[in-house]
Amino acid sequence: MRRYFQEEHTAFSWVLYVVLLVAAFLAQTMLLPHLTIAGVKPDLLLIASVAAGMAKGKNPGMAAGFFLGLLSDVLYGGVIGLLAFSYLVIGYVSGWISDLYYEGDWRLGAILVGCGYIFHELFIYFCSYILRSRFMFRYELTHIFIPGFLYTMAVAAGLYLIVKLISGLLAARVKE
Amino acid sequence: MRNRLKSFMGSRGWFFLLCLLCLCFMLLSAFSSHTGGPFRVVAGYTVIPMQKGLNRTGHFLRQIGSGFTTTRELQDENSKLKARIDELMIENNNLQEEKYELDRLRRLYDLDKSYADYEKTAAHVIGRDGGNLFDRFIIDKGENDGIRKDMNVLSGSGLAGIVTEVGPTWAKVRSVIDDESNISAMTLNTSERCIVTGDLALMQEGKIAFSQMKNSDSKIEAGDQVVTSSISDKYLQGILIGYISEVRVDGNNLTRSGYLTPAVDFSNLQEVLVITKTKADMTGKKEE
Repeated sequence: MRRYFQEEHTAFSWVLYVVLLVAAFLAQTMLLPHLTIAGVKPDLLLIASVAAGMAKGKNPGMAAGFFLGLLSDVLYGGVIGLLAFSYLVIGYVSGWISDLYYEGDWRLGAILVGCGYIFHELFIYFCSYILRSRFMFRYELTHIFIPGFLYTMAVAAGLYLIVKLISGLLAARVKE
Repeated sequence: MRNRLKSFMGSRGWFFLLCLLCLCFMLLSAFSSHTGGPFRVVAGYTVIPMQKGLNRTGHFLRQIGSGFTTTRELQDENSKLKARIDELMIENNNLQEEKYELDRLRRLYDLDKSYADYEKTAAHVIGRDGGNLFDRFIIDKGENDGIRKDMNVLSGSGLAGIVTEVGPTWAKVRSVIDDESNISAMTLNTSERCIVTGDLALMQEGKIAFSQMKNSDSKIEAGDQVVTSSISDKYLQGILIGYISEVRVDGNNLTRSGYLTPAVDFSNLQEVLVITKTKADMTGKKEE
């Protein structure tokens, strides 16, 4: 993913960065509630945080996660800072790891989204359910966690293919 | 030394700083409900207008989409509807007569305080919780439109939720099927009190559980209406929550519990009505 965004950090790419993050937030809260499969929604904010980290590096990834999380904390969450913290960590770690490894590999993206989802969901579940002593982990695992994981991965893969297609077309045009 | 500090602040420093900030927010919001204040205002000027705009566009598109029907279909429908009007006119006349009678009887029984008389204001649902663990939504009216915390939110004829937080131009509503929702309720015909609780496992099926209903002689059956009770301090009395779908006697033989089918279709919530009086206003108690 990184290579396609990151040729150079032009001003345009930063505008795109902000626009895509806002679009992700709007889609997550307005579009996806109508597109649930088996009662779950994919986590677009997570994908956006990971993508921001991979495409732009640690700091922009961290900032993306922080602001997306904070926004949904303020508008939808109960405790402010919970989602912000989780997405912040995910954005930072994605940026950090993709700095270490070979860039632009789709496998790395898949692993980051997958691990990020597991971390995020467990963290939020722990903080908002187990701390209220509501124990229904088996239900949560089979009805929300696993379907949500699969759905999120599928959406991430779909978005990756779309981005790849567009950047391929752009690259071809530039060559001409 | 300075270089070292600079390189530390570079990335890791920011990371720990932001983490600390999040932690502070969490601690603060555990103690006071005003933590989100400034952010709420910011959200009101950035994302909320966009959501409102998109929502309007969505409505517009849906209207256009429903405009594509053929003339033949419309003519057919027209003739059918005309026949239907005649039927309804006759029915209406009968009902009018009965209504006068009903009014008279209501006055006799002083029953005209049903919740149809609460003052309401309509609002659009402009966004829903992105996660899978909760069921909360935001509406496009806020403090500036006179919305306050603890106001009851209806959809159609049933209780949809309660306002938990208010921004300048929006308000956050927790729906009755959310896992954190607890309502004191009673059955309409026998006035048996119970507690209606949202549940994560039932949320997706759109059901709610009720419990702690006394196991008395009164008969409770599937289909009975459950309304908000008079002793609740947040919910106004007599708002329909749902219909009993299952009831059983608990193992202790003292209480009964079971499930309700809510009167509101939560999977497709678009317009809601907010009652512009809170229970505290009604009872004259001040909010703490």
